[in-house]
Amino acid sequence: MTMKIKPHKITFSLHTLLVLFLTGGIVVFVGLGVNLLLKVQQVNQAAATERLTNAKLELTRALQKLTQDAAELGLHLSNWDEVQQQLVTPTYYAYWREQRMQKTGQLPDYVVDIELYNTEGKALVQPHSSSLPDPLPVNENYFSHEHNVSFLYRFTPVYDRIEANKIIGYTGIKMEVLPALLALYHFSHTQADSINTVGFAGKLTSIDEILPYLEFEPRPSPQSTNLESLIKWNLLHFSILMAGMVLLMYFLFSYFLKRPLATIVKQINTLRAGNPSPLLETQFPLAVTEIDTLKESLVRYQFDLDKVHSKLDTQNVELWHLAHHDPLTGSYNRRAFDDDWANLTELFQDQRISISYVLFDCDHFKAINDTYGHQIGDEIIKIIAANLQTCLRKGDKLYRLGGDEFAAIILNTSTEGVSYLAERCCKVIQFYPFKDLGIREPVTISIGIANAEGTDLNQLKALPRHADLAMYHAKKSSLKIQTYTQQMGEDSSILSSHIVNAVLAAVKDNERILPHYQEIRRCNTNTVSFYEALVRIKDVDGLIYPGDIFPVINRHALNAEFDHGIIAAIQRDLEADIIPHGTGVSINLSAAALIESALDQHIVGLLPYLHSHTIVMEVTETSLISHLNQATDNLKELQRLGFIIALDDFGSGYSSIRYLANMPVDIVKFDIAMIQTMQESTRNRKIVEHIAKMIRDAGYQLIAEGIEDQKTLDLVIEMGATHVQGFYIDKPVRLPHKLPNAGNQ
Amino acid sequence: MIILPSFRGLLLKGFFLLILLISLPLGADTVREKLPSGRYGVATYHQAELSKPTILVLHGFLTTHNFNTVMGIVDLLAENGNTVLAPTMTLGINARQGGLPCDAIHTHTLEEDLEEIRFWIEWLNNRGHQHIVLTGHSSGSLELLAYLNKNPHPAVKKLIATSLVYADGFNPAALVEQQIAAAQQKHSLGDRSLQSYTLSYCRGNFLAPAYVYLSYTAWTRERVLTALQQSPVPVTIIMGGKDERFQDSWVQGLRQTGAEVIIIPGASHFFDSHHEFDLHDAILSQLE
Repeated sequence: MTMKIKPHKITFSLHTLLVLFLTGGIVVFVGLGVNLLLKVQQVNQAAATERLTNAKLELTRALQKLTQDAAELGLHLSNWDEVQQQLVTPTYYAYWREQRMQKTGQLPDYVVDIELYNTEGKALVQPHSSSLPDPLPVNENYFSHEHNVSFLYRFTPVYDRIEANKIIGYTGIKMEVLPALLALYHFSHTQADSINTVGFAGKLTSIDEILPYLEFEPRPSPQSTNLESLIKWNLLHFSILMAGMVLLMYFLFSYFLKRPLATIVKQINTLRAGNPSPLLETQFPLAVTEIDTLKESLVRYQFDLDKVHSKLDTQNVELWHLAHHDPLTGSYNRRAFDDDWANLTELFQDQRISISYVLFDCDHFKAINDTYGHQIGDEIIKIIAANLQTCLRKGDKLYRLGGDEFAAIILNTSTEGVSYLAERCCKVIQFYPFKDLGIREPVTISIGIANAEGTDLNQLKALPRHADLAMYHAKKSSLKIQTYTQQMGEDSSILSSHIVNAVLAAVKDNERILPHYQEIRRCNTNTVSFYEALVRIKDVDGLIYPGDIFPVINRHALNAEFDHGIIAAIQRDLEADIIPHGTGVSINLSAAALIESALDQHIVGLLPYLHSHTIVMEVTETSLISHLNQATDNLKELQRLGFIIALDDFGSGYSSIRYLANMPVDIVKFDIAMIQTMQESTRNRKIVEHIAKMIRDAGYQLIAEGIEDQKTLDLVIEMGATHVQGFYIDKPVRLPHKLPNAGNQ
Repeated sequence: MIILPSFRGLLLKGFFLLILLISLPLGADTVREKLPSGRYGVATYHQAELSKPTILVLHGFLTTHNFNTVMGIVDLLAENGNTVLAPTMTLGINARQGGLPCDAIHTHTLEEDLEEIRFWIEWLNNRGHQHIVLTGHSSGSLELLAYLNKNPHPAVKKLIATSLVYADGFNPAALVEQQIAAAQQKHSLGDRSLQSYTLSYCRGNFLAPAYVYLSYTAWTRERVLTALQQSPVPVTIIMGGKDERFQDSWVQGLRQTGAEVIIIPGASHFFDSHHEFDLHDAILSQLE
């Protein structure tokens, strides 16, 4: 099972996405609109150019028609009877030209003047009064600009009607160019009222010469103009509509999607934080079906979760009870003692109280057990526990520390009072009719007492050892009750100073630390998933085991330093490729190490192996109790880096379920006590099975440790454990004792 | 004598007219001759057999030989096998091509027209035509009558005068009298300035010096009737029964001259519509 480092994911809020989407839409729309307008403009420009060209061509054709018309008019005039009459008999020419020509209708209105010339090219009447030139000019026709008006002059010879080649005179006509153009030509490409001539000097005899002096405007294309206006108008309208739609979308999105989702997210966050808020049922109804469904699901989930929590709390209480009580005697067990002792340690720092540590031990219990059997031995233990409990005050707790050893912590009681209590305990045991059990020998207990007063933490921490010493003396003495004295401490030879020195030396030099690895196997494939690293210290006489190591570590509060050494030792084993690729290793982290702010510095050496090995950090619930926030942050960081987090000794604490729900945990380990509890009764078994199922259904891996026989193995597999660990599976060894193939065993 | 129209004759004439219209351009010539005035006159000339009377057809006031009524007569007679000459009076314009508007400057006189008529008759005679019938319309009839009144050519044998008018029979007598008096006054002073007169259908816009006006108004009603009585050749007058230019007294006066007067009922001054056929019948009947 190899976990990869999860890459950091970039997320966007719904609001940001909406804004981006709408902004993008607006940008696209604006871009399309601008592009459309530019295209329309291009088309219009091209059309305008074409219209200009067409207008110019049209104007050219109009001028051609004009000159042609002038020629035809000249010819018509020349053939006119009255012109023939005047050229032959010009008696009344002046009247004819000035009066008659205006009435005749022979010439169009744009002909402003005419003149008749004799064969010599002179006007018929002298001096001539017309605006046409006299004598006849050389050019047959020409354009002239006079007094801001352009004229076309046309001079045509008049031939004799009988002798066709004989010229009898000339006609001259003068026509105004602009009115003539407008009368002769229907302009379809040119705006007729825009045609104008600019001044020019001299006489222009061709169309090409006069064309540059014509001003004109192409006729606008109403279709183009209308289309452009229509497009602009529609773009404007659509823009307004688009703006309105964007605002409406933003409002609808915000009101019907974002706000409800934010409410739901908030609800989820409060659930995650472990602060359940009132159900969403009390909130406003939602308009979007999917969100409403989501909300309903969340409400149902929250309701179900609350039910489960409630059920789990109940089971937790039961579990805690199971985990903190000795199943044989009903007394508090070692775990309960450790918890209470830790709390007491904190309390002792702040308050001046007297604490008495009373240690009870059954004399010669092993011999009685061996003689009368385990069943009688258990009965004796039960009786002792019950009787000792009766002697204690209400509220005092009796702890079974193990085997035949009990302890009690008495607070705020004088030494005399504690001594009195101890005597009572001795007597009640002494006078109990154990013979009813068939025991012939007297059953007695030895009691060791250690007192501490004040706020000296060292003194407090020394109480168990002092009580041990006192107990030692009580065993060796006829006085079954001994209270610790300083003299006892000085004379102590119970705990070997060699072991202490070796342990302390290993803390300084972690090369002495020699992790031994016990397999944790997958139930479905019976293959090694990873190894739990169990600490051993190399000594000249062999190995020092945890039982001797941790009292020293705990006593000297070197838990964090010792964990650093273990991590370094494991890192060496990884570097030496002792731990096979494809498997992994689990490391037990103490509370002190877990809450270190510089934890990441000590694990940095393990990071390169995350891609090839599974590295599990095991923490216990007790290590989470103090400095919960710091522990949580560190666990989250470990998880983020790629470490797997296992919650060890599940069920031993008061709020195992709560920690499981709120901590970043990947694996849950049922310890031996939980496994043993299963076998005690059907009820206990069902409780444990339900808890196991809940854990599995929640997606956690479940390791059952303490497997010592096939029956237990079958039981935990049936329970739903995903992995198993224990002496029956594998004994801790120093690798490579064998080289397990993770996929083949 | 009154000719009554017949449907059969109508149909026949229509058919022949159609044939004539199709075939006429091929047979007619346009002649241009230099007149004694020095100007050139233009006429349409259709030469046929000399055995049949030669017809000179003269148009009305200010028009040309292309006038509808005139052309219809020309076509009729050409089809009839007659030699036909229809000249256009120059009215002072060399080779005049079109009708002269009332408000054009008029420098021509009736006397000049008579000289041109004389020329054309002699032209015909010089080509061997010895039996010439003069046919005129409106003032053309008047001018032909005026010609007969002044040493007509002996080849002229008859006058058929259609819609015969007298000078300014169209206008109120008082006006005519007033204008004549004013014109005479001007003429006596040698005033040759232009003046607008009412003459014939030109109402107040006949632009001419006094002498021109007086030349046309000299042929009064009495003078016409007298000329008819004194005509050296037979005269047949064909009038339209609905010619609104004249009152009945004119026709009555014409009858009293001893000339043959033919009335075509319902016909206008121009014998348009189906009355044209009646006119043609009447003319042909005069040539038999």
